[in-house]
Amino acid sequence: MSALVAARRAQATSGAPAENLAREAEAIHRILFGCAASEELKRRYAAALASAPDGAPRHCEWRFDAEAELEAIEFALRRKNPFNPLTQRFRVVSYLAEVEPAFFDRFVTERRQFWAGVGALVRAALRTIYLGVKGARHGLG
Amino acid sequence: MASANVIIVGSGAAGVAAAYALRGRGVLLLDVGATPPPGALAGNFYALRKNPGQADLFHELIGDCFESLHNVFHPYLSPKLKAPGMKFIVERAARLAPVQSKGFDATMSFAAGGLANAWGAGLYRATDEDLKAFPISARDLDPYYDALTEKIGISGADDDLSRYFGPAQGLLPPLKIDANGAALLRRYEQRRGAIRRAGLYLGRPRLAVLTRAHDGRPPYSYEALEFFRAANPAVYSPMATLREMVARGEIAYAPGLLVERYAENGDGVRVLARVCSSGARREFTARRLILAAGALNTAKIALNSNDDYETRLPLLDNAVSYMPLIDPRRIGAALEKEFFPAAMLNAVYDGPFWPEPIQMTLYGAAGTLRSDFLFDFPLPARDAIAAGKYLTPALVIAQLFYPDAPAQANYLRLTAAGELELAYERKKLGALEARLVGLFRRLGYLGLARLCKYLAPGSSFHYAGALPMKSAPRGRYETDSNGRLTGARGVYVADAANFPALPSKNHSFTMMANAMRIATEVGRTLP
Repeated sequence: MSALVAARRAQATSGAPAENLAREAEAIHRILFGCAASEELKRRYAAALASAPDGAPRHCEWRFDAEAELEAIEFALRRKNPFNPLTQRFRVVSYLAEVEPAFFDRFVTERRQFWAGVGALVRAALRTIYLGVKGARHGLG
Repeated sequence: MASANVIIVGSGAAGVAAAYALRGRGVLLLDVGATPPPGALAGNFYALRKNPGQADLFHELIGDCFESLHNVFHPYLSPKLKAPGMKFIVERAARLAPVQSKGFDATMSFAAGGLANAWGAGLYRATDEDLKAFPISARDLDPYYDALTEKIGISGADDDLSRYFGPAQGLLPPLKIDANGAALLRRYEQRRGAIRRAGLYLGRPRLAVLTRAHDGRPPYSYEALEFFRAANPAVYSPMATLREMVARGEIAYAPGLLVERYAENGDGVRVLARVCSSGARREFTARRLILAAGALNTAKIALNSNDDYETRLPLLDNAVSYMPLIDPRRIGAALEKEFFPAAMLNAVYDGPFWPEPIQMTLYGAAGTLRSDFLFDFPLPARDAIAAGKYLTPALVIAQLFYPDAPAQANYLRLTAAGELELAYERKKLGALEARLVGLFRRLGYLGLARLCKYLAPGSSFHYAGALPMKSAPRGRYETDSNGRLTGARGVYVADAANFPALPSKNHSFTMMANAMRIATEVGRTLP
């Protein structure tokens, strides 16, 4: 594990008060959707983590103020262990956003959009390489 | 002490089929019998979610206790069992039937109707090849398959799979196929000769889903809510037949009871049950007892009745893999709101790379929340959602069921503490998936064998084999061909606990037909 990652872990939140969890939800939401999370989503995010079993980490160890870094770290961790605590948090935000009517079209193609799909896949391929390299720089590749 | 001619334990597919065969003949059905919550979703899965004037569907789709997030924090549970409207199916199992798992993720149900509340509704006849380890043949089951087909209403077609799924007479027309399934079927038809020569056969599923009104039930209206709502009257559930028989006074039904043991006496069987709400014990008597509590619980009752904490009984399960395939021409295709979200097609591989036919069920991915699988894409999180939106309409998931036969390492045992010890050695899979990816590539589908998922043992819910039927049964935990336990005068096993092997096929229909056959035989022994 790189020194950078270790340093990030050292800044672990302890006690995870509601405002920390709200900040987490906001940061993850911005990574996934590029916009602010609703207050309702933040509240549900905190409640979802509170309902997680004892084995799941209530307190996340990553800094949530560097979005590109965080996305790269999540991607690298997921490839090693899909049930790592950071991916669990990303998945919670994804679920909570998916049931909001405002995000319906982020998940569903209501009309045929073949070329938009091809574009998204090309972009995904390029970002996979970019974030893969970034994750490797964190010693997580 | 209540008494009956026949006591049946369990109201799942087998128990209800047995009760149906004996209705009007003094049947008492004992059951825990959890029921669905009131106020189920109504409408179309996508139309409800799209409606901007309405509050979000958090309570229905995620749940106040975050039920739909189960697979984020816990071992995998089928998407059909984790939604808030479906949790009644399994929610009391951990308390009522504690398990010590050694590599086996058991799913048990104590709901009225059992696990069939969440089934894929696929009903397939067994062939003689499927039953080669059984002391009965397909011909023995045919009258019961026919009777169930008439009662349930099964939709399907006469196609290339009829040689594996049995004759098509009596079937209702197949469900409307969605564009995803139609594209695959069209390409199969175009290359049918070559693909069949390679060992791959495709066709329509046989589903307990009505395509026209039948037996007082309406046809399916393509709401696509099967992952979130049980008890759609167009999709057959044993619970419907149970309620019908109770309403007509054809059977007596006693829910709220967990059967723990039985004992035979001079002229019948005593059955001891625990009242779930109070813990009090109640005793029932009958001339005959039919165990149909699900393979694991039926075995537990048999072991407990013998105070046996040593014997290891066989444990069978269909190993399951999921093989994702992408149709590049359907990337970004427009959403179809009206579809059936379970099986859209079936396939059978019957070629040189596996010694016996392997059944596959082919699904689209639009029936669940997409967050269930988006993070399985090997893409950064933002792209998994952004690109996943366009990939999902192009996604076909082939679910493979592998056959199973008894093995020493795979067993169940009752511990002195009353827990079921379930041990199972995971099979090494992947070789066939690699070949199948190549075969589907010839149909224009992209896939990677390394993206296949291999579920933990127990994930199929197809449990069997603990109290097997034998033509020459030995010991007290085997049954004769009519399901009667060796050494017992009036105790019968009617669920898949009596399957000596599990073929590569959804076993529900065969379990139901066999339960009817056994119950009919029991009926012949009654005065």
